[in-house]
Amino acid sequence: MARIEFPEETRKRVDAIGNADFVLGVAGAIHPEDLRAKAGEWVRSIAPTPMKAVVVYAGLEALNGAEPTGDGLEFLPYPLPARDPSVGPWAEISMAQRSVLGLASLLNARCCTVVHNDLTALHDPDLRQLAASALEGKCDVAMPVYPEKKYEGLINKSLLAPLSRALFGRRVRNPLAFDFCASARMLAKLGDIGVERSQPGPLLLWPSNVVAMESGQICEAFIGATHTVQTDGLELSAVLAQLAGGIFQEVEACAVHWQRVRGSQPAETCGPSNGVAAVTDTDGDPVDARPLIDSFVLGSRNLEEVWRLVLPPVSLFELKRLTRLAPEQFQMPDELWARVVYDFALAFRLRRIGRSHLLGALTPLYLGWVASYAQEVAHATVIEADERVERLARVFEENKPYFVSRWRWPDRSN
Amino acid sequence: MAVSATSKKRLPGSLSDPLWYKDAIIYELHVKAFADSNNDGIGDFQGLMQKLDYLLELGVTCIWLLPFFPSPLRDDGYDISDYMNVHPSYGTLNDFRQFLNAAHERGLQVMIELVINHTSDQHPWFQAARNAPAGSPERDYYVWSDTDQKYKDARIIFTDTEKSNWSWDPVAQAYYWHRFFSHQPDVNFDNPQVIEEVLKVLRFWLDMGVDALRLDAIPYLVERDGTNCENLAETHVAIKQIRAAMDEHYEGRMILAEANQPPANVRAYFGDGDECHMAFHFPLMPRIYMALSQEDRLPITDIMAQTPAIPESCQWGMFLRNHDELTLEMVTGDERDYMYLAYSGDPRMRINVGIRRRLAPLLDNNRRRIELLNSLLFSFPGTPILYYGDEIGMGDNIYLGDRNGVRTPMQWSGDRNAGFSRANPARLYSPVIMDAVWGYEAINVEAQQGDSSSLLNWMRNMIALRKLFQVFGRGTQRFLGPSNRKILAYVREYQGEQVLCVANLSRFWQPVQLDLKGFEGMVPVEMLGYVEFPTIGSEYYPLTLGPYGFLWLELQPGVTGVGQ
Repeated sequence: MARIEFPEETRKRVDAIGNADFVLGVAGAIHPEDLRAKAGEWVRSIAPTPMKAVVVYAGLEALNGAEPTGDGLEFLPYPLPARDPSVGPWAEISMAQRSVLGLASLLNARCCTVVHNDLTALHDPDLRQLAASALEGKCDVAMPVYPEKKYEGLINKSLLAPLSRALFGRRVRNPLAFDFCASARMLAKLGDIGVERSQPGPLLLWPSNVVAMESGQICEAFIGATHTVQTDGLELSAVLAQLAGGIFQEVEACAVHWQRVRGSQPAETCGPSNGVAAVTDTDGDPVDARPLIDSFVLGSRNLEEVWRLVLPPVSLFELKRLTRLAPEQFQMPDELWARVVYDFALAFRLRRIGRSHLLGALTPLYLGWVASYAQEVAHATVIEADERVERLARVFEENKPYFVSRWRWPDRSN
Repeated sequence: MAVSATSKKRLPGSLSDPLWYKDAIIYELHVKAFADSNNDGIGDFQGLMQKLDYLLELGVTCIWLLPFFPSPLRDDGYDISDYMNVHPSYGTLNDFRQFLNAAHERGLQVMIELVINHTSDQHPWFQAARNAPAGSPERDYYVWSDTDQKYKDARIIFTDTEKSNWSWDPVAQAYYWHRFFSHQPDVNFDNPQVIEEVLKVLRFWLDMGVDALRLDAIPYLVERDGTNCENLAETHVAIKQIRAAMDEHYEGRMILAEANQPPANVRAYFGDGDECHMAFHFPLMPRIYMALSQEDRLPITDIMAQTPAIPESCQWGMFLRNHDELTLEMVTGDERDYMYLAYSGDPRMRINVGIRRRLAPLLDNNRRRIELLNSLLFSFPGTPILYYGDEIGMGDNIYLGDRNGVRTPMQWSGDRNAGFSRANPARLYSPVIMDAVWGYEAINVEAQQGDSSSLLNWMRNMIALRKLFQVFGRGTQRFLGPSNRKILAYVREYQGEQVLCVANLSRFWQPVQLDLKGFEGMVPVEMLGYVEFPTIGSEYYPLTLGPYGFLWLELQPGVTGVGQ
């Protein structure tokens, strides 16, 4: 198993600390003093009985007074790789998460909680529930459900989550999580950079997919924390390319695993049973779908040649038909969207065209689905919108055989 | 920092899984025939490097290089005059290192030849031996005799060219022993110094990072009077020494035995897992062709029934064709006669005890037959070994001498010299194939890459599918015995994976009723298209297969549906 290589200094520090009961890891750079103030209190709050805990954070500079604090808390810095704007913020976060998990594995921790470096999760009492589930051995990974409004997180809701669920067989709402907890059993697996799964470019970390492949237990907890990712200067197409490209890489790397999976299992809920807003809350004004539809129609004119390299005639035909609809009638069927995603994942693997070009061509199609969704949930409550997303996920599952067959026998002749 | 082979730590191979060869797809090629980078008419390592991505895309995981060492080339490189260098026509040792690194960077393994039974008569060892006095250490590197009457029970292998296994050397004033051509004297494995020299060669290449070695002609290492000089106990002792040396200093490496012998004899080359990791299954190959021609599964099931179990860490090497003739040494006289009639209408197609033709011509360029045989290759227990050019259905040239007709330049495109070289066509090491049916303008990689229905794309898809299922490389095989003998059916099983393979050896549609007791309630899912077939019940399971059709059915537990 290939692990992240740590510098000698870090390894010596790990040796000096020895084993740990619990690791709290910050996936990204953080001001050490901010961390010292918040981490100790949070760690004590999840385990009233004293335990040996290590706080892992990014930065080679040791925390002033990084000696044990007297209550078993130690601080362990790790180096972040040099910033590479081309890989995108999610890849950097994933790399930091793997570093945390790798160190937790070296420390033989019973459990590791990974948090975003804005530390907002540490203020969230529900995060304790997440940590407790893994610490008490109730699950191998505890994933968060963030409080999202119905128009938020649509790349995840329309692509990342349903694709992960259909392929890896676990119903997880946020497979690409900022905050999660992992059991000892999964630390090495999650921290593995995977030589055998090595693909060009960075691999994002999809904790629940890894655990699903190991037949581990997954639970979810609603937490109140929300995060923003630094996407300064990134257009939607770049964001979509980084995220879709990330999951497509995972799909390619794990083809042997997901083709064995049939159906899906729900993740067990830990903590409060529902963090979704009230049934009657329609969550703001309807969104004007016309600009989205215009983008789709424009894309269909400009990108038809690329789409023809990726999509089968039947999908192209349906897309063509959509462009002729009046905006109020515009409705991209979920089945069409699911198959489009599957065909793009396949084209990504087959390298039919350059990957950046390919992923760029997905944007108008995504906007077409978003337009449909926006019109459909315009007057829906948050829960109704949630049900709408659930229907999409089921369509992804229903169409998985389509994907498997095309993966195994790529042929655009239908 | 590289770890020396002499240090205590074992030098790892390029893969961490010690059983990597069980899941491998091996591709056999000759450097000279693959791609020519310097336009001298002969393929070279720089040219081969340029084609690595092609092999990667095809799905190959291990490249088997035919001999590329300095040699007079009187037996296509199997007559080696320097074991630790590269023939200048193919490049330099540094070129080889570059190639090896480039292959490893792509996750490809590399297997080379260890031709230890014999050397070229130009090898310095032989030159020293013939000039040294009888009884001297130098002379003792080879097998000498004052008479050509020793070892009379040993058969002659190259019957078309050799009349005796002994040849007179006027310099040494003695006969020397050779199981192959007279210019290939056998080395003397009774001499411990010879074993030491072999181990030096082995370490030289393994230290460099080579992943696997094919041991050429190993049944013939040692000779004893009163025996046929094949598969002797002393030969196995020598192989065990080689394997022990490999295990002591290296990990993740593999030895493949070339032992053209009946299955029971080949079994001995696995030892107790302490001789060769792999061995070719020679007797199966001609019987696959026989079964196809006779439209009867018996030749296949019969030879597989004679195939003994092998140690857990060992593996059969399966192939349809290779660089030699389709050997008929391992079939009976009647079977040989039948094979000659069925597959070599023109006497020029025959050589020694076999047929010198490529896969596609043997199968009359019938796409369905080609696909059927490849489906067997990919689904039988063992590691499939492809011969270069067969993935595009390349033809052969029976008008070339020896086995050169199946060693013509790789056909990359419709350009001059098939895209193999930009040299003057007259300078090529071998003419490219040019006739209307098999010529490079009709059959080439570039054309097939652009054709989604091409044989090349079919092969690529099949290889990718096989690689998804470890059961093919590692699983058990159990034959079913339906009454229709034109149907070959078997179940492969490995760690809960179960695959039912059914093949129609006939040119006509065939019905079959399969006894699938033990699989009741399971759902066969056709693996290529992921199509669910009716659930298996307690009755015979009916199937109908088209001409030369085949089915791979993954047996899945009956259902869990969406959201279940």
